[in-house]
Amino acid sequence: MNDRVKIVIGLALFVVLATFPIWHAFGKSTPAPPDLSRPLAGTTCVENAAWMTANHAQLLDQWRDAVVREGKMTYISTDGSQHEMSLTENCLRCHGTREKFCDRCHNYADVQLTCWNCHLDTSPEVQKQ
Amino acid sequence: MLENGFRGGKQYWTLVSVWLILIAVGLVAYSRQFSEGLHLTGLSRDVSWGLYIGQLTFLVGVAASAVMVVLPYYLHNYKAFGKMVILGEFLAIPAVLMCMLFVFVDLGQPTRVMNVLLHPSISSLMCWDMVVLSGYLLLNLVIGTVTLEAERKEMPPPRWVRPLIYISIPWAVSIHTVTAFLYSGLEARPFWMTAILAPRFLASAFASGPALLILLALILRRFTRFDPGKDAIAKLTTIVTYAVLVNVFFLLVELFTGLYSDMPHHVHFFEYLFVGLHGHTGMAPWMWVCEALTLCSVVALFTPAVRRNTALLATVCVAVVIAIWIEKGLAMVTVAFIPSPLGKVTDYVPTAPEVAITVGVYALGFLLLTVLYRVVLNVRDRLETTP
Amino acid sequence: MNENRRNFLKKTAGAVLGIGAGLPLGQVAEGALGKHPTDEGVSGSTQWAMVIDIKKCLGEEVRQACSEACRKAHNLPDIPNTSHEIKWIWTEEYQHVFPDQTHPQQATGVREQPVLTMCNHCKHPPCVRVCPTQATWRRDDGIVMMDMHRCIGCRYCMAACPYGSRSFNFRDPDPYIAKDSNGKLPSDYPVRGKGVVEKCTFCAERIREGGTPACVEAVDAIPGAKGALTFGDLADPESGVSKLLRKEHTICRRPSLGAEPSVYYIV
Repeated sequence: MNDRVKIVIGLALFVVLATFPIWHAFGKSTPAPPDLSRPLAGTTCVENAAWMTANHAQLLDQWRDAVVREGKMTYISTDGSQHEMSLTENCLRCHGTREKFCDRCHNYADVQLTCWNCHLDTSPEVQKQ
Repeated sequence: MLENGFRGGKQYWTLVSVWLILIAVGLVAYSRQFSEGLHLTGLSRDVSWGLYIGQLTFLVGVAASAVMVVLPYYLHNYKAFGKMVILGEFLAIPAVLMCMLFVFVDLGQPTRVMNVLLHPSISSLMCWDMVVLSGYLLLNLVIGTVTLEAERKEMPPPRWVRPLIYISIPWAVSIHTVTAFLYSGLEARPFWMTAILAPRFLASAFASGPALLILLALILRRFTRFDPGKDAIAKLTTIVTYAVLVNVFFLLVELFTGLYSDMPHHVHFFEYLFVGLHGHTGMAPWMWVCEALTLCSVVALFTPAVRRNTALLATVCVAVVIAIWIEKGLAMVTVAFIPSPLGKVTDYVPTAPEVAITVGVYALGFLLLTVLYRVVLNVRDRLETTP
Repeated sequence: MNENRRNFLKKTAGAVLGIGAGLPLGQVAEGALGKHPTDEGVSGSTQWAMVIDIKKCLGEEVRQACSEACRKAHNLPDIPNTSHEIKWIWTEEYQHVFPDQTHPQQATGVREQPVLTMCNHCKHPPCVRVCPTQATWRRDDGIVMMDMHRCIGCRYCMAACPYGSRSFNFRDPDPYIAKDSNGKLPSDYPVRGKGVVEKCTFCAERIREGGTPACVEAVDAIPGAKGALTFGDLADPESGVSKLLRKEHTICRRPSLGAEPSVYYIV
């Protein structure tokens, strides 16, 4: 094959580029998962922490449709307790501001949030500022 | 078979490069519109649909016109259209694709376009339009590639393609009718709310589509070895002639109903179109050009000397396409918004980014058309040169 | 390409597509999403309506107060280019609001009368009929609502509205919203982004808390202007709107279209 040299060079280039994330991080310390701000008030969240970490996006979607499209306000969690369906009025009342809570994990995981393009952070901490 | 798209001479690659450059221009403009919003266009609160939706209207007609070659050939065994059919089907594919792209670039939140499929609304004609346009695209892709492939292998096409071809005939009429229904069911826009809108769409489609097909066939005959045949082109010319005539008749019918009834609701639109309303005369020159071109086309098409002369025929076809483009791509959509429900006349002038995006989408369609026709040409060449 | 290679590629592509399409179906949300109390939500036994007394709105300050209250309550931007303006409640001349009730011999004083206009929250809304994503819908209580999360910005609703009540965000509205000296927005109402359509929602967020629309509240606060705008429940025969509709000569916009507005005008 006359093209053997070209193929080998191309393959080598591909391997270098494809493994870039691995060798680029050699010698650098990876950032630890962020520490979320502890709740200011209240003892229990809407659902347990593990469930919330996995499913908070679906929960917020369900809340969004229920509040906007059906006019409902109350969520009955799996343990039977009732909660107001509001990110800013309920979740952030305990968990502080979006910078201390939402942004910490979302910046770490590089998952872009579009909520705050429109919604305003009306948590009590922000109001104090 | 599709790898034939990469096999072409200098002319082919020059053309492809031109389209690619124009697509790049469109992409740059669109990225600006995507990040800044539609304020970069000439649209306004009163005239909320403009050039983009106009192109959807025009191109859906071009796409549907494939039925004008498919129907005689497959349903009535009109053999003269043998080499024309694939050209028609491969014109329909980029036309439908461009239709869908024009809707996409018109959206304020294009990233949410899947909401139409996730949360459809049965009463919304836009949902139905998405369904029928996607279906038509798929149909033509399958039919076109399968029949061409069969031709390449010098075998009859597989049996299951026949029902698809038969379905594509009423489907072509449906894409047009559904798009017309988008407009003709709105009590807010009296200019559109006429039962003759769907028939008008069909008539202008069957004029502009075959005219474009004739032009493409003539271009192919001039620059390549592909010749669809004199009979096919002659028949298409006849179709265009009668379609233009019917289109003119429909326009006159509309003019009569609107002007004879003397209702301001109807008269205002024709005033704005042809003489201007409240001092806004921007549309009038375009409409007079359109009607002049149409009239000349009708006269020319009825002159045998013109139909026999290739150069003159090409000129007439260009005139027909431009006239119908002005009528559907420019006038039909924006004029319905003038005057607004609150009586205001707001002019609509497309801006440079808007035109750039339009050109980019057209270039994308033409690129696809060029590549598809290249495939057809290469397959034909092989067939004719192999003993 | 020879036939075997072609067939192999076709089958592989088909398999990949099939698995790829099937993967999302295999993923089910883990855990349980909770429920809602059954007695919540929008009730169909209420039918919200508004009655506007044109004579009481002739004063500029009354109409200004309405528009300003709405603007502040919903963080509406003030865009100088009228092509891109956002307005939920504003003033138009009588001849434009009621084109079917106008004639050339009408007194100029009547023809050019300033009339407040807004979304009519029709009973048979054409905008709802045409929305491809159900981003706008008619609630059981009569309010034609907007879901800003779902709107794709196709502007079909704007083409379908016979009253010109809808506005489209041609650009990001945030730079055009008047903020106070601390940079805070006038209210906590979510600011819409670019590319969505918006309109008056009869202040659904206030009604949910048992309040009244911002425009009505603002007008009631002006001495002598109380009753210029009346908002209430049509299903309740003793409500303010029901009583007014029984007593006064009221008209609505373009009744021949059959949309049946819920906004009535006392002439």
